[in-house]
Amino acid sequence: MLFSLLFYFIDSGYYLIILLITIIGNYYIGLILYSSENKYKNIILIFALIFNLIPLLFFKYWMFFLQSLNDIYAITNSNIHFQIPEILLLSGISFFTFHSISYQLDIKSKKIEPSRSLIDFGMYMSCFPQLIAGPIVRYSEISNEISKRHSSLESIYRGIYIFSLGLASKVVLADSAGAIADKIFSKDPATLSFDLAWIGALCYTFQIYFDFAGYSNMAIGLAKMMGFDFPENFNQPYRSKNITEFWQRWHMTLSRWFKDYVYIPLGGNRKGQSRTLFNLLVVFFLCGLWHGASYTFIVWGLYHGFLLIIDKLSDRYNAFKINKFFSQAGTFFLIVIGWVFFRSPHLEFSITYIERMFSFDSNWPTFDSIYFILIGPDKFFFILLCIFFSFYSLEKSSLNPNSEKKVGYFKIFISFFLIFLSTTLISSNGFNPFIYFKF
Amino acid sequence: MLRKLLLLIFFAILCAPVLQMGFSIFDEKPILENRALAQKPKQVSVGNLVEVRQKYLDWFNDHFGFRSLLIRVKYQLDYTLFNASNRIHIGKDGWLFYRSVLDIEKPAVNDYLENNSGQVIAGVQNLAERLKQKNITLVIFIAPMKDVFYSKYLPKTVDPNRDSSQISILEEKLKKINNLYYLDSKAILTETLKERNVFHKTDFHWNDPAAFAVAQTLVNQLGRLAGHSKITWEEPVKIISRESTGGEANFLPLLSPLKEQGLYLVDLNLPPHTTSKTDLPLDVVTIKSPTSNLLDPIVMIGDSFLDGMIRAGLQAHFKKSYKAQWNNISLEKLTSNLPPDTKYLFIEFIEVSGGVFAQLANQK
Repeated sequence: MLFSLLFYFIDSGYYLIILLITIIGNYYIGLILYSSENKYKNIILIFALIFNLIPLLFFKYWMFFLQSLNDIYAITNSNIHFQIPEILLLSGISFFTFHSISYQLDIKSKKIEPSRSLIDFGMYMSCFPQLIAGPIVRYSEISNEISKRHSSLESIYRGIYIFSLGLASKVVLADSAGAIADKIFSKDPATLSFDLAWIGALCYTFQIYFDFAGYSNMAIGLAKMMGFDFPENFNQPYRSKNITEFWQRWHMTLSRWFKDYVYIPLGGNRKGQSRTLFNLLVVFFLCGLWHGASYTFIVWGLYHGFLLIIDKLSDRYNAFKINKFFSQAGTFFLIVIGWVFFRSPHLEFSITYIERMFSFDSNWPTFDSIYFILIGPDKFFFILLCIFFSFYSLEKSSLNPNSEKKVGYFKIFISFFLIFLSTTLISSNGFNPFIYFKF
Repeated sequence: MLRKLLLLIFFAILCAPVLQMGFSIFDEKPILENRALAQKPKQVSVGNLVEVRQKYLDWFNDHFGFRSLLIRVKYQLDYTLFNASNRIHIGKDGWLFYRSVLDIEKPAVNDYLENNSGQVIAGVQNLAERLKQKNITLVIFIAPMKDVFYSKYLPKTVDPNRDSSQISILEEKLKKINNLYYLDSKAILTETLKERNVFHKTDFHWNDPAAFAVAQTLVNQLGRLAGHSKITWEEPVKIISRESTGGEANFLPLLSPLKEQGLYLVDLNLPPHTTSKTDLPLDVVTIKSPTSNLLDPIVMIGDSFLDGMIRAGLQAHFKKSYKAQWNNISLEKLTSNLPPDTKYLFIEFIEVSGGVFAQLANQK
């Protein structure tokens, strides 16, 4: 735990105090919540939620809230204008807030007993592999392992293998795609040709997947080396045949958090179709907002919410039944469009960018100019790898990190090679922060 | 047992960079980087721990053990597998070109001249006029970059649609300015190219024989202007070829740097002379027993391309030569403080020197 706190201090400095207050506060609130009489539990729970949400609302959303008020007043021609203060976004606040909220809600619903050791609870909250960018781990998933975990040679090798895949995903694949995406997204979208707009969107699609999945695997791998079993967070989401399946494969720990703590308490799908669809919209509105304090993230969230509604309705009326390949292609197409909102600095940018994606204008550069000048031979190769690993099914592959088979010498060699390769890239390129560190 | 041993080896290797940092077990040749590396923070105390933590991270990122080796491995892999580099355009037949020059600096200068060439011409005219009143001849030489003469060796990673036409347009206008002697770099080097290479393959600079050709042309033209009946500089020079590695190859940077057979001049010695320094600062070379064939004193301002001309023997043909460098003095300061015996002002700069164009544009 001390090492984890030191890790956080190196990243966030004296803001470590917020994490410490969160740990200590939630520890004692959890004990009180568990031991209190039923008639007080709801009040204590509400207090716990407020206690946990206040730092998140302040550090992440206060500026956006004031900006939104200013925008509303501007539209209504009011003279009111709020000064927007500069507030630093605390590393990992979205993640450890969700950890603590899930902890309290699970205590309230008697799924778990509270931790009796502040150190053990602090270990859960601050565990450095997942502290900054997930996966969102439930207390119940690692409570036994905190005090009694078992680390074997096999688990260490498996952890190294998963870690190396994650590191290479980030440094080799995501950063290569990201270099192209950044180049294109830095331009005025109105000047983009149809093809460049698509190249940028596709590159970002791969960048965000391999960046985030890479980080998750690094966290899972490190945890495994220490004897923890973190849940899987990504399962090749771009192979999905529909949006529902996409959200069962993408950021799985976030999806299940929203399902268990927002969607189901709102009634889930048990209160009729209209309410189900409304619940979906609420969940995805919050999901978008969780990702960032900006209109673009809200639009992205609602976009996926509406796609899910269409999915549910088409399922109900047996519409849009097409073969697997077209389902996957169509789903991937919709996901790529959504990522444009996610990546854009503001809403007008994303709208203009998407317009260019459908402009079908005749400014089509030659293959040479894309291959050699825009992308470069080295990055072109890595983008081909991005495509391969996004769509080729790894389930039965010998490379599958979740395979039950022992980690053989082939995988050990792959691990060492990938770590070495990644280290050379980090040395020469510096280190690009993970995209999800911003959340 | 083997698996345990492999694991131990793996973790030992992970510790190696820290050990290298602490004990400098191996000598590491540093990488050429166009920036200053982060320095180790001093005066660390509990009070400033938060502020120095980022500085420590920056220092660690720039100094961890085997960093240079790992960077070289990365660039070697790019070069070997993909024939690519994000620092250098790797051309055909071993020709290298800085990416920053072709992708950033040349387009930037082209854009600048598109909007400001009028001011540049006006500034040069003003300067030439001012100098003429003091009986000083202004000579300007714009050194072209390697791609002007070796475009057939450019790789496909260079944008074929890049526009660098503005410099040629400017040069044509400069040739027409009164009181200015414009030394036509392209004409001289194109002629020289018929006999031998004029640039290094693995270096940004022209070779010394090319510098000699330009220096000789300059001296002889000035001699003609001065009314000398004989050719001022007619002695031939001896050119040798030797293996070398240029700055672009070192910037690449590979495990084993690329080499070339570069052309060099056999060491030339100046005739007996004295050296001194003025306050400006100017480096002064005075020939001890000047003959009648020597030209009057010259003030030169330039960069490493001018240094090539000096190595080729330029200063041997002037009674006195004053030399300044662009990074030591501004054009304004130099032209306002020319030594009283100055007869020629020679301004040399490379075609991507946006700052010099701006200084010329500001001449009143």
